[in-house]
Amino acid sequence: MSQEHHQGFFTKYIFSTDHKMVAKQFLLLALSMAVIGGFYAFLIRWELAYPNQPAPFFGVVTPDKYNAIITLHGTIMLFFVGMPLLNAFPSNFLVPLMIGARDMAFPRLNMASFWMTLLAAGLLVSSFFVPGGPVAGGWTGYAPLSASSEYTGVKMGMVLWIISLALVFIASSLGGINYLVTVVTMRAKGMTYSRVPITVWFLLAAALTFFLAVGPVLAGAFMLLMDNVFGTGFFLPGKGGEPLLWQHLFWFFGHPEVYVLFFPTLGFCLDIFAVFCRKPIFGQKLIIGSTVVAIALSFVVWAHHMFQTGMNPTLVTPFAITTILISVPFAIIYVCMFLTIRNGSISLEPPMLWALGFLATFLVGGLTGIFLGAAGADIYLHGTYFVVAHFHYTMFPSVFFGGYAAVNYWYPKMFGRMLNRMAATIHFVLTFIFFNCVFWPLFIVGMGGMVRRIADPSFYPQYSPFVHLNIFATISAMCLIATQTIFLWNFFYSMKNGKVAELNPYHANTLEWLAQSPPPHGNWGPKLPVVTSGPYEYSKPGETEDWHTQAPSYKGEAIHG
Amino acid sequence: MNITTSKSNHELVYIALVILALVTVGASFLHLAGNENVYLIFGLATIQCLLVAFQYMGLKLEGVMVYGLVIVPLILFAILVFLCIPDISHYPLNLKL
Amino acid sequence: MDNTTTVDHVEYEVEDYTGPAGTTAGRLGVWILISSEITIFAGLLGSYILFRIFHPEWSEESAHLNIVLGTINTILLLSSNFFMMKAASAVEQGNQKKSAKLMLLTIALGLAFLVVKGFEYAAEFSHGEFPSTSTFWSFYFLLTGLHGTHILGGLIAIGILWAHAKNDNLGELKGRVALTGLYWSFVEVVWIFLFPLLYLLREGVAK
Repeated sequence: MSQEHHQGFFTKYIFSTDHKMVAKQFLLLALSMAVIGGFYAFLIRWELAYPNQPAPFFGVVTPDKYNAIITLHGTIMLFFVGMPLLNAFPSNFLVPLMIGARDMAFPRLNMASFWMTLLAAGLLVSSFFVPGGPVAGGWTGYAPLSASSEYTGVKMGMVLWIISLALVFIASSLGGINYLVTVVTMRAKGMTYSRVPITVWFLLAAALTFFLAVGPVLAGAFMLLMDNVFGTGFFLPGKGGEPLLWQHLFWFFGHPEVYVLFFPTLGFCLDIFAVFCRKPIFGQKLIIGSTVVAIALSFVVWAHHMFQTGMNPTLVTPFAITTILISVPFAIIYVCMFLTIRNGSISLEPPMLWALGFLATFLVGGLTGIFLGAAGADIYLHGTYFVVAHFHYTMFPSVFFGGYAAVNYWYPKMFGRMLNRMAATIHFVLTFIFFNCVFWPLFIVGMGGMVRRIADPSFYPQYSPFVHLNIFATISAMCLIATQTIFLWNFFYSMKNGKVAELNPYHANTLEWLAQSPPPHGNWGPKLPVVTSGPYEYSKPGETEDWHTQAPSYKGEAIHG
Repeated sequence: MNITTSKSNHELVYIALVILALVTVGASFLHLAGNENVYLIFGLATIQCLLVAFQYMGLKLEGVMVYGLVIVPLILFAILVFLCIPDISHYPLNLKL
Repeated sequence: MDNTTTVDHVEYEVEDYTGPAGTTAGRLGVWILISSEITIFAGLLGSYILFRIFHPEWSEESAHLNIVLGTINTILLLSSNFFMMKAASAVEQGNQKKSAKLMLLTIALGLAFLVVKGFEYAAEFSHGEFPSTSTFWSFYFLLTGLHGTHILGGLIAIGILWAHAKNDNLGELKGRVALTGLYWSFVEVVWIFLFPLLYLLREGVAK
């Protein structure tokens, strides 16, 4: 038996080892960095629509500033918004709760993981202010541009960027260790592997894929750092180096990385579909099998990012084949998701809206990837806005539709209050509309031949037909960014003023809904829950209720009497 | 039974490792034809590695999960190197600037 | 192993958990760390191998490495690893003071490795061989440098454990000696491959 001990302010909020507090820290970090990343998105769209005119709150976006801004937009959105929001925050909050544990296997390592990420974010932000300015080599940092400051004049900024990325990669790997060990060793009694919710499986799949893929890019980062600082020539042809090696190392990681960002959202959507359609997930084993195949394939598709680099042409066909092949397991998962919804008793609460929106928008992203994976079509489409639209139609749904789905769904458990439903619904509708208005036109201008990573389209007379589409996309982008303030208001306002939530407002089966809202330190009462069924017993024939919690015997006593 | 309770044969393994290390160095002084030298040296290194892994690191006592954690990165290493050889190692790019 | 786990100094009973018997959480955690480190060194060694195949002339530059010092370093690290294994056994037998002595030997041999490496670097610098001299030297300094930082990190960890063990004060840290030994063996395995790749593919050996 145990007494919850009193925690001081610093132990409870700042230097916390409690997985729920660490999760909230990651969430706050993600939201803060999203504001910066979103501001950069605004600047990018402004320059494209109104070249060389001073942008509000910034001034003129000159070409070298533009290069820095697109680099930072990509880096921030992927590594300081995407990974904290989709991997760190949900894994930290949900994994112990969903398996019936009291905390992570290594709580102090967890805290260290957050502080490393915060340090990395600080280093990146500090690079805005150093002499020479921030990194400007694209988020992909292709050599030789990134390997020597003689081309861009950026030295300190590049070094800080490399170190910042190395830190965030190491922090994420450490987090992954935690999640994996926790699930293997700390499942509650009766929580067999087959009863673990699919969200946990997808979070684990993401963690596993990440730490298996990150090694080569860390190796490459050390080499790039040495090129910049010690004048070595790993990636500089003039010194006997090989620029394409950087690309191979980078994309060997980069491709599995996009699945690291995609898997958690798949997990959230599947669990949300089960709850809001009152149905078990269709084809659970098929989904898990397809995921395993997809992970395996994801390690042999990377060179589809390099079709036009001048690499050995013999490599093009094999990689094109594997790239087309990898769409198969994902298509299977998609069909299973549709069949999960089919004939369900659908209730359109905000989490369900986000999950449905994800299905619709990611479908576009996934299908357009096939065009790019076909190497012949890629000859024309590479480096155009078609690519930009494709990856925004995959990344934005994964990161934001998935992230908002998770936040909307688990908000009552995190804070004990409900989000304002009207505001959340309006936020979804407007985001969905404006998102499509920003990025659909980019497919069109991309097919028209407009290339990416150029600051001033008006410089090229062949792009003059696209002026109106670019302006339309920019105005939609400004509306999209403005819409997010609805969410920010809702998130912070409802923390204290939202409707008080019941323990299990959506009548879901998974274990986390049995704990208090928010769960206390140590999560459960004196006795852990004992699990007697799987997580998808919804609408079982012959039962009075349409749901069946995984641990019916758990009484939910407060941890101290 | 786990790694710390199994009967230890650390001394035997140590002697074997030292001998193998010295033999490997010696093998590099042989001038065998073509690539045989490389195979011999790395074959010996692999045996040393397996000795350390199975005996010192206790791999022989671990379950499927740990074997998987060791084997999968090695497979990924092979994939990375073999798929990049046509590009990095054999592509006729003779840029001696 | 008793029946409780501690979360933030609060004890809870663990009979309710269904983890597997045998591999503890700590050990699994270190293996996952090792798995991840294998991929990092795989990236570096893989890059070196890719370059090396394309540059057979590197065997001349490799001949400049001091094979005697390299062999001495190999034996030093092997011996250090051996004593760490004995230290872990000593802890399991309950003899913390003996394990402290063995850990001290481990640290001494590890430090000796770093000192020899330092001499090698100094000699190489005095011959005008720097990281920026050629890509072979870039790889040499990066690979041995990264390996050296891993050794340094390991030595710090072993040092902390030694400080506790010499006063019979390991307490909760007892299991960590074997775990650190596991990490230390991994560092050894990296060197087992690093040494031939850098030192032994010399002129007349590899085409």
